[in-house]
Amino acid sequence: MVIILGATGVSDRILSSIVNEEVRLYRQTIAPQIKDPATLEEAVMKYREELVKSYGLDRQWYERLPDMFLRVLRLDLGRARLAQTFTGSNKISDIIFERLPNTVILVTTAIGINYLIGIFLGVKVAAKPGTRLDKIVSFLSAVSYAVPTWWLGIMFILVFAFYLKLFPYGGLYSSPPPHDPLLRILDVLWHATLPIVVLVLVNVGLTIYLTRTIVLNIAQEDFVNVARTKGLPEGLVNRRYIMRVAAPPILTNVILGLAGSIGGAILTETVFSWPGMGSLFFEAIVQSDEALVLSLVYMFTFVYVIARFILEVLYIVVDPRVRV
Amino acid sequence: MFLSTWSGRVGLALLTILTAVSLFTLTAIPISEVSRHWNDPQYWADYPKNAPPIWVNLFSNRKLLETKVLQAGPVEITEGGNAAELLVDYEHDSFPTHISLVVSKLKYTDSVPLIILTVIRPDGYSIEVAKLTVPPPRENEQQPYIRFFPTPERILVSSSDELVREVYKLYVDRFNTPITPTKIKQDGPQRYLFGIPQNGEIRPLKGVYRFILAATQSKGSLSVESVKIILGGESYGFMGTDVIGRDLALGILLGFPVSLFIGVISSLIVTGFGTSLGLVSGYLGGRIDNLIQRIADFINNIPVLPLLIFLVFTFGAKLWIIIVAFVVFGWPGLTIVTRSIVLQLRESQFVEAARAIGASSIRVLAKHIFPSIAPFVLAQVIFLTPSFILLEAALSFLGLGDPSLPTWGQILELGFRSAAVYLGYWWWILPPGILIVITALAFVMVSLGLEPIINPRVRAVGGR
Repeated sequence: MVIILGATGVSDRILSSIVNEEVRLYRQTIAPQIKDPATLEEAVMKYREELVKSYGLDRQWYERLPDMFLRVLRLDLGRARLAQTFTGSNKISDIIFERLPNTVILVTTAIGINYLIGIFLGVKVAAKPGTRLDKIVSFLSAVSYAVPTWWLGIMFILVFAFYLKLFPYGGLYSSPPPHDPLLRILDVLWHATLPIVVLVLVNVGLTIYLTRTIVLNIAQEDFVNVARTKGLPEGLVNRRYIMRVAAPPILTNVILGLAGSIGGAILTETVFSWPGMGSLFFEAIVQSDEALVLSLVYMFTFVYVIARFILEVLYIVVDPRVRV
Repeated sequence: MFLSTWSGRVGLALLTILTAVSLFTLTAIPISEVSRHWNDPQYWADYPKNAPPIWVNLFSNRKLLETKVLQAGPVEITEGGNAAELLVDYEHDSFPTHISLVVSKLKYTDSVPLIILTVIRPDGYSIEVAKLTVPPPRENEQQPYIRFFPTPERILVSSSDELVREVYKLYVDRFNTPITPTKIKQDGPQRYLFGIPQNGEIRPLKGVYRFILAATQSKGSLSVESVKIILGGESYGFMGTDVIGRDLALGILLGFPVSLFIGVISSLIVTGFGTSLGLVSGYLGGRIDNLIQRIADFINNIPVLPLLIFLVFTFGAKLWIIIVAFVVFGWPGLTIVTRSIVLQLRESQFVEAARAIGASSIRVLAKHIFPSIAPFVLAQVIFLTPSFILLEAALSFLGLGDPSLPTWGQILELGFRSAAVYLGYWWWILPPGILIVITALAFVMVSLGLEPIINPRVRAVGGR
């Protein structure tokens, strides 16, 4: 993606406009001090050269790449143009670390609840295919898939915050946040309820449906029938024959769903003004904050890779056919 | 095939309705005109802002005023004689939100006339509410002088100082009400124009109001093509208005064909591209297969939304760029699945037979393999469509959609941005979202209905 940025010259344009802006400011600040126009111009030109060098604009964009990689690895991500942390720092690493836990609270909880409910219900429904229950659940799953995350968020705000006044409109804390740490935690939980509920509702349908499909597929395989005719108890058949075999594909879906949850986080955080990485990403894009956007993409990829890694390890544990 | 399951039936029914509405919109509504002016606040200047739909009046005791347009013309106006008169029988419990005067195509000869708008209230008091200045003859211009053509002249009467002054005079002199011009201006002079003090507050005065447009200092002839008085209401239309005053019903109707179009086209292109690659990859095998699979795997592992946002942001928010982005992210899913099916089919007997006779690869692909995967491909197109509709809506919601197209996501974007959510403007927030859901749902249900056919194992066991 850095390549796209560089190759299209957007990178260059953004950086040069940043440089131009800084030069202009510099000119404004030193103009009162230096009266002689020639010296003024010289000073400004020198400053400009320094800036160009430091931003690397005098080299081609692909020469900047290795430098950037190294810096990212060291987590020296530079400074954001407009964004700031709560304490006023605009070092990008500070900003990201301040917001990362917020996103983790929201997204991890939602994913956790989603899969717990989803897999449980999916298995239950798979046991009785074709019944009213199955039809109802399938329909509700379809609806849940069709509902946009952000719209449900808005609707919930409208209903629960505006009309019923049960939950806050958004944000992390009430203002001012309560002093007592226990109350503080409860406050955050209260604020997090609506976004988490929305995230779960929107995704749980697909989880249930996919789980049900996978389990059904396996339940009708021959080896399951053999196990049944052998006289094995139903519970054993369930656990050892069906679920053990279903676990890997279900896990695959979990892995694939991970990428989607990043997107969901972006939308939900924006709607609920939740100060997390998702809304930060959106703000960065809107503000053309190149450094911040890049850093965030690195972070997203990084987090995503780690999460996948964990899941792949789980996969190896669960699926007997895959052994390293 | 589509009708065999209840899900398929429902989905198909919904799709038919959606297509019908889209066709209706395409034929009955002047689309180019509306979309051209969609983002132009001037066009919507006469509409009330943030107004709920008319039919809320059915549910509440307090009847909200509907926007009334009084029209007269063409009319000849003579000094001391003829004048343009517009009547309204005011029976509402609330006040207009604004009053506008719109005059088009005014023709005069000799000297410049001065046009005055007066209102005669039901209680007999006459108030001068606005003065209309007509531009004088220019050098070398011939008589008759035509003004306010082709663009009509619009005066927001309810913010004119004359009205404030006259209303102030009326209330202080005739009604003995302690009031200040500032308060009148704050509340909106039209409240006082249409009201009468009762028990310490201003209540609407019901009855017939006569708006008279007359001229003074008019020596020659004077005629006006059309005069309109617009009494801004608190409610408007079938679906209300948004903060710029746009008629949401129009926006919503326009959204039907647009969503269907985006969804179906993206889905077709992605499926076409992805399936072809899958066919090639699966059938030819070897290095090409590996390469394609690697790329597909890579793209599949990328979180879509952040990069989609990024791509649209970098390259601009135009419809075709969005569709290209969809295709770039969408093809791997299809390629991988198509390939695995093709791999199985490749070893089947009829393919073997065909090759034994010496059929070329292309022929085998086209005549033997493709027909077997066709139902699957069709199902994929149907299944993918709602994802693209939803993605486009999400992009529009974030403000990254194509601004020249009025889509449902866009309507919601403005709603969120202008805090309609926090202000409880449900008529703005609910319908577009529900329609997105219903549209996506229609496709999903059809897909759901097709599933027992595509995947026979999942068919209802015993139909308990």
